[in-house]
Amino acid sequence: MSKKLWFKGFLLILAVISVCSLAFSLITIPLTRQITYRMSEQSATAALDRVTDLVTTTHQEIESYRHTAQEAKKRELKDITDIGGCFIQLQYDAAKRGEISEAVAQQRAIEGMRMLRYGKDDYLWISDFSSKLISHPDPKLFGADFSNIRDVNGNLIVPPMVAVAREQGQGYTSYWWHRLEHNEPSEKLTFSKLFEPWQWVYGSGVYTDDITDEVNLRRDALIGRLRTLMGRITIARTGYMYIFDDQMKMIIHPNPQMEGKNFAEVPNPRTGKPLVDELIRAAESGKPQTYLWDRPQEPGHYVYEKISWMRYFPEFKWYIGSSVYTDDLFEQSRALTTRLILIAIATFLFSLALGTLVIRRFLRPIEHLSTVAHRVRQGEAKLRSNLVRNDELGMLSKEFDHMLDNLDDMIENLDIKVQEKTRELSRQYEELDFANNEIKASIQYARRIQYAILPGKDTLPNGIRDHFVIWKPKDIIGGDIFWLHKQGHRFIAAVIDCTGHGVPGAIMTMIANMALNRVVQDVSDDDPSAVLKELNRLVRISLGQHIPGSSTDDGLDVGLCVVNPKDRTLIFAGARIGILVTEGDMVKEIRGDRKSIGYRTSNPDHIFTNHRLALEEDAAIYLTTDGIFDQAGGNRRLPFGKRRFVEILAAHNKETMSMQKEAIEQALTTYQGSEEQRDDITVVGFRL
Amino acid sequence: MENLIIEATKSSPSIRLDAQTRILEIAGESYPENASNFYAPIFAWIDLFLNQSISTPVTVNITLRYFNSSSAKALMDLFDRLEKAHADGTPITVNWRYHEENDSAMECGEEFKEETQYITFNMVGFNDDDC
Repeated sequence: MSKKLWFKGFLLILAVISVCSLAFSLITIPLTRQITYRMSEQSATAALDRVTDLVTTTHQEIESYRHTAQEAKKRELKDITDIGGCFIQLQYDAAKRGEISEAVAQQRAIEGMRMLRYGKDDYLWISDFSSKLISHPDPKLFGADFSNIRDVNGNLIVPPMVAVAREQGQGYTSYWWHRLEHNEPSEKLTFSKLFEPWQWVYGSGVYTDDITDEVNLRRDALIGRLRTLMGRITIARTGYMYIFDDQMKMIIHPNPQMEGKNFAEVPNPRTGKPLVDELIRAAESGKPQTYLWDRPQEPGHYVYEKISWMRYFPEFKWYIGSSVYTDDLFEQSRALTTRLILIAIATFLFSLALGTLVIRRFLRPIEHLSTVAHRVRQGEAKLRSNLVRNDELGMLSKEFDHMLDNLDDMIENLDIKVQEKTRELSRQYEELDFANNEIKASIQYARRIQYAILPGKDTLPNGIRDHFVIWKPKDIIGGDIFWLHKQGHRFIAAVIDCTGHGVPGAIMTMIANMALNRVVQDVSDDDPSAVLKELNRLVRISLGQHIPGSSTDDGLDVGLCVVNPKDRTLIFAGARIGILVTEGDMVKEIRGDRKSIGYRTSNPDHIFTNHRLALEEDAAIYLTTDGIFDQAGGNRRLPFGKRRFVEILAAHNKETMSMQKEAIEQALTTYQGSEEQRDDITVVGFRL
Repeated sequence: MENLIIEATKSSPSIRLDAQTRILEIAGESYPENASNFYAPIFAWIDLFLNQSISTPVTVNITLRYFNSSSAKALMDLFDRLEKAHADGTPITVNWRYHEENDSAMECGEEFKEETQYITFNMVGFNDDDC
């Protein structure tokens, strides 16, 4: 039994769920990638923001400090210089008052200024307008000409100080100088002031490298803090932040080997161009840069794809970068994707199972109905589906069962009727069969009687040398007989064709036979005409057909000849039957009268014609009824015909009678073919 | 009046008696067990038919391959009726049609022809080429 419905349902659910799952996957999975990327980007950017904020804040702090410190230093310088100026003014005023001479005043001023110290060995100096040092604590520099002395950067040192004092009365300048303990040149901040009366410029300078140091200290602290902070930041699990400056030096990097390294030459393995340039460009454009890098676990293997978001901090000339490994970035999305797929599959399977279950439940009653229908058809007539449900299937089941009940009843009824009918028919058949057999038996017996009246072999006249007889009733018994009567050396031969065939014909032959016997005995035995006339009268009376209004109209045709073998004469008379006699190679026909014998309409006074013949030596004589002429057969189903019969006789003329019989019978059988026998056939032939 | 049409059987001929065209046709073979029973309705129809429109010609086409003696008697009966009608003013033409190789049919036809005086009795032979 096919399970097509369930299968179809299952397929349908499978298809629906598949499509849904597929759509779900196709829509959400790319989305997860996108989202993950976006999240990483945001994370990276947020980290960048945090770092930038920290840097900015710290920078501001540092600048603020620097500014404050610088202002303080400037203030300090000015104050000190002002005090130095006061001292000079004091001496000048004393000279002006006449307490001392101007030269002494200048001398005292110079000495005094030389001795002044503050801070850590900080001092004041005096220069004239041509940048010759008038006062300086260092004896080597005392009186030195600084008009052409330049600092480490190539700038003149004193002349600018003089210039600013002369132009603006006072001012700040700075120059760079190597200090003993320091590797790098240090900046010295100088304040210079003009003392017009003596054409002096005096001032003081302090190294600001302690500010710079402090700034650097603070910056290093920042870097340290940043390093800690950035060390704690991971983006997409393995991504990190780094900072390098515009000297391509890596300032902060999780890989300690990278820190401090100049990576200007490191190319982007993907493009071949220096990576740093591309990162710098990324900082400018704000777009992320993709490149290949190594992993901390595998240093030197620059095979892992990374994305960096860059930001530039111009104040420190720092390039801050936030990078993720693409693999890991999408690793997250992959994890998510996998999870989604698993969920989709789980949902899929679950829905499938559920759906199948539901369909099963749904289909079970239908399958049941289907099975029941099949089994009923196979023969279990009493089987019912018996589904009790309150839905359409229940109704279907109920109606189905009703229908089967009805069918059952109908069939039972029909069965009974058929059985009755069969019994009746059977009985009738038996009766018919019995009757038929009775009739057949009866007819078979009648044949014996008919056969009994026919001339037997022992009645053969002496004069007949050779003979044959073909006697073939159509239906076992018939209306044809042949008749023979011996009278001394003479004999009478006749063929008689009575009305009809079968039983009525046979009955007529009985009458004809008896009548002919009577006539030959009582009336004449040598005059065929007289015989026939008397036969006519007798048969008519026998059947009551001489009375007008008789109920029957039956009679016979006859061909009768009286033969004298001694003188070889033959006298023939016929009622619708002729005689055939051989003459040489030919066969001659003598036709009988066109009058029948015994019928109601037969003329009782008719005189039948006597035909006299002389028989030649080997003459053969044939008497036949029309049975053989009327036999249908051949291609066209036409009658056998007299002509054909005569041709056969002529053809086998010289042969023995038995051979001629064979020839005739053969021709008849062949011609007849599958046609049934039309009429009783009687052919008699004899040779004297 | 209505036409009389009887379909042929194994032992009886087809009968087509058309009152409109006044053509009566008997064709086939005639050897019914009871010829008088078979021909009775035909005679009845013909008697009725010959009583109407006297003087309008009638054609009778007979094409019998074989007929037994009782059928021959019936045919003779038929010809008697036709003779009488012809004598009463209805021109009757009988066409006796037979296959040229059917001697018996031809001979019987000639016998009928001799038996009839008034009606026009035509012997019409045909072979396989004809219908």
